[in-house]
Amino acid sequence: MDRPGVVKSAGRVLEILELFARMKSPLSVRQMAEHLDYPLSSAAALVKSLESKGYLTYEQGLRAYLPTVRTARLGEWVYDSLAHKQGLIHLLMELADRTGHTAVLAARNDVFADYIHVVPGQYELQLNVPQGTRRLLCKSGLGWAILAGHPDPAIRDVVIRTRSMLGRAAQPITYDWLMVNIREARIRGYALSRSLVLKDVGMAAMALPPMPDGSHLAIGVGGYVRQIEKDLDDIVGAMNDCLRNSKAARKHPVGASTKGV
Amino acid sequence: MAENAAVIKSAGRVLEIFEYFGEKRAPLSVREIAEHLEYPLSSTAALMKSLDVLGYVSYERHLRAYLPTVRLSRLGEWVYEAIAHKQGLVELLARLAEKTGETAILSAENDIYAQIVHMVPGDYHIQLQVPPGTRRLLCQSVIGWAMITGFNDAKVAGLVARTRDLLGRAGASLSMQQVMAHVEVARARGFAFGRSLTTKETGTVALAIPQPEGQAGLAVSVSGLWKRMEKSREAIAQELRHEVDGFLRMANEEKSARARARG
Repeated sequence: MDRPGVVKSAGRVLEILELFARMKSPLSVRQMAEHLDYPLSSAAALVKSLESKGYLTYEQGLRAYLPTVRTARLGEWVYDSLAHKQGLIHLLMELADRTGHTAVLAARNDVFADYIHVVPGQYELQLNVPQGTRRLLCKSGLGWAILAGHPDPAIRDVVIRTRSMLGRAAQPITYDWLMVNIREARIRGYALSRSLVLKDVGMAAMALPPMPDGSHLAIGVGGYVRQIEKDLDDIVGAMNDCLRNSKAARKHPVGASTKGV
Repeated sequence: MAENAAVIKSAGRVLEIFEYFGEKRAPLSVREIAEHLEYPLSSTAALMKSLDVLGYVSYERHLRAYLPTVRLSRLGEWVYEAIAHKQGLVELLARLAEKTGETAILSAENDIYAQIVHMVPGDYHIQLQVPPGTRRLLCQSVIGWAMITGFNDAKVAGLVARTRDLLGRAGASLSMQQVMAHVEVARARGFAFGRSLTTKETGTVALAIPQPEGQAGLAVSVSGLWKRMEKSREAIAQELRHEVDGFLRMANEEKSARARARG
């Protein structure tokens, strides 16, 4: 529906692309008009203009439209820019320098935690995970840190969607199993994963306060699990300091973080 | 009709603004946007406000400028998968996984990454599982090297520079020579092959699917335990070649059928 304070057709063009993203299927002009409650003629005009600019293509065989690669590429660069905002890269470098381990920044994307920036550590034995790695929120230290700041019903919803997506491969992810780890993270103020995805790898992680644009981020320090366990106090201290000093955290007081939730 | 013309105008402007952000990849002020795209300042301000209310851009107070949010990147994320289904590439992966017993993967070129679009797991007890959406650096992955085989040197140089820039410290040791060494081997062999840089126990055979000019690159690959892949890489490369050739033949036939239908 049209929203106050929004230029009508600016909102509508995005609503059409959102409808496609939600339905994940080809759509006819009539379907779009019905779903979005637009007059058929204005839906047709919008679709024609999206088609002429190369954002939608008409599929003869399906008698319906589909977005094009041009639409897919519209925002593909935005993810990486997240890390460059608000001095977060600087924060990661400080964390890697202070702990000697690899520092990772992750963003929640649906039921996943995406690694959007990685600063390698200095130990000879160091975690080598590239930027672009994707983990399940339910099955990663960084994911647990992000989830710990969410209310329980929201976590249950993530579990349900993850399990239905994974089918048989969902083991060991159950709500009860996850909540044991989440409660532990809430009490401690940080999440700790040990050999959860990669054998011998440990990751200590904390969530950042929610960003103004609604994205959920977390920082983590990872490496050889025994070394991480040994250095845990220093790592947690460094993460707390970095978060306190970061611009992102200063803007939003610590009360919004997962600590003590 | 007059109303529709106005509708089309601001709808088009929204997309032009996002394209301009994609070009600059930096925060932009209302004035910069208005000047570059030659829109009136007042309507640009109204559009940006709208996009802010809708959650597609956020105002960075300290910069006095706007930046797109992840919401924008989510709009298009699913599109590659839809395209893969439409073009029969999902069936192609299923055939590859069945014939080789290993995990078959389709990836699309996405900025400095190869993004995994679809995966069909193999049937060995030990098999690779990578969630779709995972991104591998083009410069540092076997799938990426396969895609880069189709790039010219200037494009590779640009990619390396941008990757170094985005990786920060993790990209410090990356060089054009390093990337080209892998790419030249892949060009000579006709396919890219190597040990995964992320999961050392796995190996990958990858082949680019040539795309029309201006389209995002695609690649198919087969991954499995390194020991198995080392032995069967030639046979797997042959299967990949066979499937990609078949796919391209079909695409060409469809294209000429469409051209005929149009007269």
